[in-house]
Amino acid sequence: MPKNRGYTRESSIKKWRDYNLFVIACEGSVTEPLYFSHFDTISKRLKVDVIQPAEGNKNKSAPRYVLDNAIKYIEKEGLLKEDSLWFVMDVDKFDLVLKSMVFRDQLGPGDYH
Amino acid sequence: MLIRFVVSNYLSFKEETEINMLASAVKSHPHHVYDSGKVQLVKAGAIYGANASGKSNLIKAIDALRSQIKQGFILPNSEAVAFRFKEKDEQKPICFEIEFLINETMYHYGLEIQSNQVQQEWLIKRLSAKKEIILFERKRDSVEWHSSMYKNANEHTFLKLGVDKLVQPNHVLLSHVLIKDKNPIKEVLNFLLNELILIYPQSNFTAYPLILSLFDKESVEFGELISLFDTGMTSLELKEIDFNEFSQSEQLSEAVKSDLQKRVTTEKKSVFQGKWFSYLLVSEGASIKVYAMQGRHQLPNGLSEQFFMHEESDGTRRILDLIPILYLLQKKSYVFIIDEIERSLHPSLIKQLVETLLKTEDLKGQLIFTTHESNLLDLTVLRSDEIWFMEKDPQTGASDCYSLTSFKPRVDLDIEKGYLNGRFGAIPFLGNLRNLTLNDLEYA
Repeated sequence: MPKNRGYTRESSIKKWRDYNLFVIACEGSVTEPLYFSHFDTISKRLKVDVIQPAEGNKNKSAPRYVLDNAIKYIEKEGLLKEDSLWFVMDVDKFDLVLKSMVFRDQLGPGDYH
Repeated sequence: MLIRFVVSNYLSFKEETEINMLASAVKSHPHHVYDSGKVQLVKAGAIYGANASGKSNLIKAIDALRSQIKQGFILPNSEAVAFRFKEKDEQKPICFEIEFLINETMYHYGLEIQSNQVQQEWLIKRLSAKKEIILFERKRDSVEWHSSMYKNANEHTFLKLGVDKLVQPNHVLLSHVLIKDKNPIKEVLNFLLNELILIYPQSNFTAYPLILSLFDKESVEFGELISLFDTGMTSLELKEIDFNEFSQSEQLSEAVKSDLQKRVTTEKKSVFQGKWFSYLLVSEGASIKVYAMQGRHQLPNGLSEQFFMHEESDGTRRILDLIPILYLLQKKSYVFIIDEIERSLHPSLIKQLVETLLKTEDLKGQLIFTTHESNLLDLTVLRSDEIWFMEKDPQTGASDCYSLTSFKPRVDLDIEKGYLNGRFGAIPFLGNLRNLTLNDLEYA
């Protein structure tokens, strides 16, 4: 049946979208990306991009280095206030309180998760 | 001008997939908006997407609708081109719909096919966004005609009888209506078949015959346009070729030759598309003159040579494909749809071409193209409602088409960077290739 689909662009839009990025910074360059790569099969909108540790930092997985990498990534690509940056850490190894203090210190309050 | 195109269950399109030229409330580049009073349309559409996302399928769908109308019957084996990832007993028709504007009148044409038969077909004239006249509506064998389509009872009976006796289930009714001068179907067919022009990357010299047909001996406008681009070509010229030489090189049979002579004598001017060349044939008195197009290249030292089109580079020929578009869009409300506009052209050249065209204040037609060229993703060149993305859903295998306008909050960031960062989707996903090396492939 012929349909009247409306004659303004706004009325023709069936699905509104957002353009937020979710950036996940993690310690490992193999296992963690593998966990998250599951999202690739769900939707093209979820993209897992591995930020490789900087040369020379390959085996330094301490939160400090993960944070350095994340900051470098933000400097290069830029993040918007709608975006979120997540850190995935192995909490067995580190003191959680100390770690969160390190991050708060580096990133603006309330900007990132 | 094109208002919208909707396709479903065809190639990679499962559900209704739409591209439209409706203008949004965005204020940038106001001269890109054509306001008919009833509808506001944008003059450009850029479609982005990864390879195999369905960009070319959208153009193939428009082409399929056009060629069904042109030939007068539906796709011969519709099941072969229907969307394939479906449940076993899922039966859905293939549906094409196109809405367009001709001289301030809005039309809506639809064709729905299944099991090699037309299920539904309609032509609507829209007087406003809400008011419409259904000129005809066909449901399988029965057709309802609006009273404006016939003058009296006799004509009505004639229309009905014509459909009953002559129109087969696989015929496209639109192509078979007897046309009188004032019948709206005449202008509808003219728009769909002559003013909606599709250009493919692999099609060699699509616009070449068009240039030839417009080429008057005194016309040098194309020649001037070509010199704007850095190809070395300074002008276009017609070179006369002996008729016998022409018929020998094209290996024309006597029958074809005499047909051609008849056609040219009646039409005065005709374009012949040969195996390698296209020729302009002009009837002059009792004889027929044959012309081929050549490009003149002039060196700064004054040396000048002419080259036939097959001797020119791919890039130059592609520019020649695109030049008539620059020219024609300024003259008439053509709709040009180009698949892979950047093919054979340098990125900065294509940006210059699009920019030059869209800066024109009184552009009469529309330019729609698919591209991978991200440097065109620039809000100083295009409006946000002119940018479209095509993406294939990995779960369903179906293509989805959406515009930058459908993102909230309104996008005012660097579009090119945002696109390359994956914010809008529709980019190639290479994540899983990262861990695969050539060695893995070798021993796989």
